[in-house]
Amino acid sequence: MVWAPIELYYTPSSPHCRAVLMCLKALGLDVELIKLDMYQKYEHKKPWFIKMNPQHTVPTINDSGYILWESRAIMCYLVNKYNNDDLELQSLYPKDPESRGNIDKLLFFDIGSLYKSIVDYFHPMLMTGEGSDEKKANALKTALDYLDGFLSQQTFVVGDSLTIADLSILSSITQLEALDFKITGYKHLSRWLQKLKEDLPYFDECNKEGIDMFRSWARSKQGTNGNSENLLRHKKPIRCKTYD
Amino acid sequence: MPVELYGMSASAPCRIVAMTLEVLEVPYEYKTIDLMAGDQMKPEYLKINPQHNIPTLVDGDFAMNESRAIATYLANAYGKDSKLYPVDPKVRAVVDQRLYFDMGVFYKAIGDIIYPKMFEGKDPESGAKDKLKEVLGWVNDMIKKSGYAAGTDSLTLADLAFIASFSTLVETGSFDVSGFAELNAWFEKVKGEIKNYEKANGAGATAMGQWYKSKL
Repeated sequence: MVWAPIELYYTPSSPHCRAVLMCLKALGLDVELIKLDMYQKYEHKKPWFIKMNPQHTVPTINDSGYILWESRAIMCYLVNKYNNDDLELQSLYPKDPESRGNIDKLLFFDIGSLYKSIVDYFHPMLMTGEGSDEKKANALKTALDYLDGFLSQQTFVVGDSLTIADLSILSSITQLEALDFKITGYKHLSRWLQKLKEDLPYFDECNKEGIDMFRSWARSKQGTNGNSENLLRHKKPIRCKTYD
Repeated sequence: MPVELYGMSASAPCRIVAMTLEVLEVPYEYKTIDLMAGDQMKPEYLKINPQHNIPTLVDGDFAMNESRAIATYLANAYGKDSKLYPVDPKVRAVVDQRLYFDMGVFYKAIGDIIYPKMFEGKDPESGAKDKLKEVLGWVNDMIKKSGYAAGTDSLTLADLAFIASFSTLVETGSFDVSGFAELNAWFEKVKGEIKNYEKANGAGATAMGQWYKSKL
């Protein structure tokens, strides 16, 4: 059976779009990339896109007329639908309730704790030039501590093989890198990041352009808002627990 | 051995799990973790959940946190072929989409209205009310389609997550929701479809509302 390629509406600098793109590649699926200019042309606010996704967010997919958004829900859908009963593909999101429970837990940890703490901490500094907020810095540090703790026990964020939870969290962690936030103090997290960058054949193809774009944008904001000092102060993790 | 749910009835995420257990008719033991008393920092709790948040589920030797992930686990483990979490990839994906939407958008927008008052004695940030109004509009439109949150013809986990959030907002009285007709009709209907609704969600939502009002 020939499948029409899945349409992915995206913007390269969005970490969530990068995660979905990696998932499509991990499954070996054909994709038609439709880049939206969200910053100058506001293409996501055009009626045709709002009709498709009233929340006008990216990523959004169109799989032969079936429309879905929310990056993590998209990744679950893609593996559920296209694992072809192939064990290696299934292992991205295994079917047994316990593994699934652990993966879903990490996906919700990413949206609600890790990625949220990145946005809460950096967004005000980048957008309005506010100073660094210690409480928000600590929330980010706490999320990274947990993550480092999970990774001290196993190769990947859930168990010893790659899952969609790794892809989701990888996109958040590389967003931190794009913000020049160093995670080298987190030993296990650094080891995991290095491994994924080296092992995933699609890493550069899915991430490099977006990370570079976001980094240039963030650096230009630091310049205009004159708060580079605040960001620099957190180039090194403030203090982190170590897990040995 | 019944599964154990560690939590607090006022907490909306804990109520998602309690309702899921009720609807799936899984016997459970509720163990109260009083956050105000610091129960979550006790060594025995940190052992099952180092992140020391609530809820936590313990099922034999398997323990996990994150309410919406617990709900999907329970449906996967105990609700085989249940309509609560449909197995068709396209339908399930819409339920998943609603669960992430609940966490990142819906419950967040409600939290942004009620938490500043409850925990910091401050007014919500400017723009928070407009945001919630937009979000409630989306939720109303999602429900309009079939009378259920994920566009299905019966109750799913998406309804349970939304009802935990929405009932909290209603009980605080912090926002006028009367303009969202489909949403209000859905709320009244779905309450009646959840076994032991008052115990699993109603009473806790009321307690949360009273707590909010006591801070005004």
